[in-house]
Amino acid sequence: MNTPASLPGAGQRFTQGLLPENPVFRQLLGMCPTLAVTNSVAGALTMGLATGLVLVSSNLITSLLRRQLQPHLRILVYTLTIASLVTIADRFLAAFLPEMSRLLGPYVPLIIVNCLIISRAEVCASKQGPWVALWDGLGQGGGFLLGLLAMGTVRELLGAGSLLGWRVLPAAWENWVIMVLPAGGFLTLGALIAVVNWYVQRREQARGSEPDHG
Amino acid sequence: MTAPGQEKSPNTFLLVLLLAGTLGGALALVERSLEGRIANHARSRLRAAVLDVVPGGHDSQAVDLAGQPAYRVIDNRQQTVGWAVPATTTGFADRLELMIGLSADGQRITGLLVLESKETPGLGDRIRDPQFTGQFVGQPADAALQAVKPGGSAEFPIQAVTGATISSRAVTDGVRETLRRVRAAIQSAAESAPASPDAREPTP
Repeated sequence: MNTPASLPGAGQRFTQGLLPENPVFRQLLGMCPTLAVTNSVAGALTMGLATGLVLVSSNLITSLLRRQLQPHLRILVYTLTIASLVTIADRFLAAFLPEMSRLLGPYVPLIIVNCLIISRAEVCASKQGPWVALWDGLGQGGGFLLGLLAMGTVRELLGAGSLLGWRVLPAAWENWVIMVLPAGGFLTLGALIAVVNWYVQRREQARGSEPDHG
Repeated sequence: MTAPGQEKSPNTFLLVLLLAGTLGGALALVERSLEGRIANHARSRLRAAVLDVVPGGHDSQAVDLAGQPAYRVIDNRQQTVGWAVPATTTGFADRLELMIGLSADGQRITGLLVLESKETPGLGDRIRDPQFTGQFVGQPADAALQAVKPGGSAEFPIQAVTGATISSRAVTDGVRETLRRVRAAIQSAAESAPASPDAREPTP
């Protein structure tokens, strides 16, 4: 259970995932759901939670099996685990949130090929114990959820004048239809990445030459 | 677990087998316990659509109209108040699924609902709006319905959604062509099925 000294601990794994290594804005992983299902806050929230749940479970299972994993076998084990977990999540959504499940359509099964999940299995869970893997999953999953929520908030607000379906902008507001179309996803992603980059650079400058440790 | 140099493959084989068995079992368990609930959602969605397009309905029965599946809508005295006919057509983006409501005698359209559409949000997607679908209500089932742009004219015009002529035309053509196929079958079925007295003759 000893964590190799060179690998970050649970706390650092968690905070790294939220912003310094945010999956959406810093690593640009999982772009398919980031662009496809973020034209409403509700869709972004459901997708973020489903992905986070799968990520935490997959991290735990991979971490528990890490001593048995052999190089030629690990991708097979990851795929088997992730595909099963995603299918379970998809069935639960279809059973308990049927409208949301219809809205998200194929994007829930597509979590299987979200490279964020397999990258965490490879980077962290296959090398560190379940405790660190759990916090890594929570941090990266939380970072992914935050990224999708940021996208969803901007797009639903400008594109439909509402948040979570509630009208928040005055009736005089003319909806920017492009924001709920695919092009709006790219525009929003670009703008938000610029904001995050600007923020990270400013913080690094403020610290001088000190290396960034979250 | 294995000492250096020892043969590792049986261990590996067992791990994959165990993992696949456990996860497969979990999947089967989830599917078994949720399939009823999932099928229920699909049924109640369909039921709501059928009752939405035919006013005054209480329940519906699946019927077969010359190879076309449809629903006979009945009131609480088991009398026919109308018919609901599912239709599919090709829209701008993907297949459109519609539900058309017809009166008990099969002569008039009583409602139209877009069940499934992947049309562009904000443009083609507005074929779902009652502003558009409401134009079909009351039209004769044998009308040569035609989607027209503003200023255009036709014998039975349906005003196309602005900026979504293709989607509007798809719905209009889909309704017209589906009704042309099933009209005769509905009328013969309507004659044999007991119609609601309210629908046939005005009550004194």
